[in-house]
Amino acid sequence: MKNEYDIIVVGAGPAGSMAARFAAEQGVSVLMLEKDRDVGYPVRCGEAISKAGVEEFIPSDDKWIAAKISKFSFNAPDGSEAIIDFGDAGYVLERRIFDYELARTAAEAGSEIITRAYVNGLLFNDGKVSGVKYELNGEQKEVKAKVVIAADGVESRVGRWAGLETHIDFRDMESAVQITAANIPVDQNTLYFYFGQDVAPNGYFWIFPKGHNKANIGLGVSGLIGKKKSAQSFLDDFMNKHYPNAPVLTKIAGGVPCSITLDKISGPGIMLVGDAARQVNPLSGGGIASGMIGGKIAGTIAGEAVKQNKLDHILTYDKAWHDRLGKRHETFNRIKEGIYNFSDDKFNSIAHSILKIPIEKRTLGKVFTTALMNNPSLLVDIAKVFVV
Amino acid sequence: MNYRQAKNGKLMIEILPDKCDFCGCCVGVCPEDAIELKEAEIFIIDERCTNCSKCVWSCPIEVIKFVIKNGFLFEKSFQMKKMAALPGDPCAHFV
Ligand SMILES: Cc1cc2nc3c(=O)[nH]c(=O)nc-3n(C[C@H](O)[C@H](O)[C@H](O)COP(=O)(O)OP(=O)(O)OC[C@H]3O[C@@H](n4cnc5c(N)ncnc54)[C@H](O)[C@@H]3O)c2cc1C
Ligand code: SF4
Ligand code: SF4
Repeated sequence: MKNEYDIIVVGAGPAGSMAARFAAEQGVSVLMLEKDRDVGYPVRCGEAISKAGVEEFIPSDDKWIAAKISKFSFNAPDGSEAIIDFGDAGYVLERRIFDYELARTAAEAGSEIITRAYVNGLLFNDGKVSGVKYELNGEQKEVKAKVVIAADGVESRVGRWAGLETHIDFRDMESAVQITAANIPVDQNTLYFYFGQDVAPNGYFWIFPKGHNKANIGLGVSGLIGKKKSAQSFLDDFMNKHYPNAPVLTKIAGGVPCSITLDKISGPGIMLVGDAARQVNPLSGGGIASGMIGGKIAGTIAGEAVKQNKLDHILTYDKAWHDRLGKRHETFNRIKEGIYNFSDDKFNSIAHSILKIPIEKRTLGKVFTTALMNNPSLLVDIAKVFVV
Repeated sequence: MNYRQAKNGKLMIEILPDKCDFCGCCVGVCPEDAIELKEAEIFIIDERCTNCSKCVWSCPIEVIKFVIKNGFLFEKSFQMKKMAALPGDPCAHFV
């Protein structure tokens, strides 16, 4: 361990590991600091991801695939179930192994990693971020860097210390709880989504299979709903009704920032990636793949900036992210806001019209067109996602 | 015992660390950077807190409470629930 690095990454989630890896691959020195004892644990995630989202970064490997997904099941408040077959769509991961493997790829590229290192402040030089303060084994330490990449997740504070506006409105924060339960006899290749006022208003409820009848069961609701009823009580109600005696293997709480990306995700000496930059897909709440993409773009740009000794280059990250995904997320966010306002009746009538399409003809396009006939104002936004 | 004072008066927000899952949802919504969260340790930085309650609304498992008066807690359900009366100042928070 040195007392100065080219790049320091704070947080070893998927976004941090990819930032560290793509920076280190360019031959610059990288240190990644993680506050928890373990990389990848605790897992605060439903663990669903598309195959393409994974394979941009790491070849598929059975050791971190808990289930292979080919179908989505959408469940309306009145119990109607519309199943859509997507073919070879994605996975439910075993993230405690997956995150580990991502960190390993960062290490192989040359980055150093330390766990139980809690970053609690920044160093500044001439108004520019120049390193971090951290606590390791009860001792307060400092380490300098040319660029600090904040990958510190939903609880991110590093960006704020650097002077960026990082606060997320509580209405856009989905408060989530999830259990991993055994003896849940659902189809092991289907992701189940439930909508409606009873199960998860302004959000959705999910059952994602994890193989051998294990499943991630959880929900997220907006803080606005949480004001009246917590995510926990929604989960209790669902479990009491459907699986009253299911053995619970894990239980976690979590927050999913479902908003558009922050206005500014870079500044002098600082870059933000993943949940810390609010790079989650605001419609689905999926943030693994988009966090890895943010990490890759930031790590690559940071590495180039150091190598060329042109640190201003890191400010090009905002636009690079916007072009790759940020812009799409703005559209997804508008769709989310439309869907948030759907009544139970609307969800029911959408499900009924999807059910009229024969299952072999239920392509994503057809399903959306059908949903649109129920809500034409969303047409323009949805068209943009699939056409542009 | 450590009496806590919030920015615009007395701290009325209470986190029950024994029940906390250390998930960070509250830290994400706090507009004042007033919550410190380590691997398994959480507390409010009293001089920054404004009692805005956003953390209370966002906590998925009801670990943060808003203390309004004389040992009454403001629960999610908006029902007032009596808890053991706190000694001394009604809004005092003890750690
Ligand atoms: C209940 C739930 C279900 C979800 N389901 C899905 C899903 O099915 N699919 C999907 O794609 N996404 C899902 N998400 C979102 C996904 O989990 C996140 O978007 C993703 O983990 C973000 O990755 P990240 O690397 O940005 O942050 P994280 O994975 O949160 O990593 C951040 C890391 O930084 C560390 N850290 C924080 N502060 C400090 C500090 N001060 N010093 C040092 N280290 C620090 C943390 O310990 C953590 O390890 C879900 C989220 C929740 C809460
Ligand atoms: S009440 Fe408001 S300011 Fe105080 S800790 Fe909670 S969110 Fe932060
Ligand atoms: S949101 Fe609740 S469970 Fe999560 S860290 Fe805050 S107090 Fe703890």
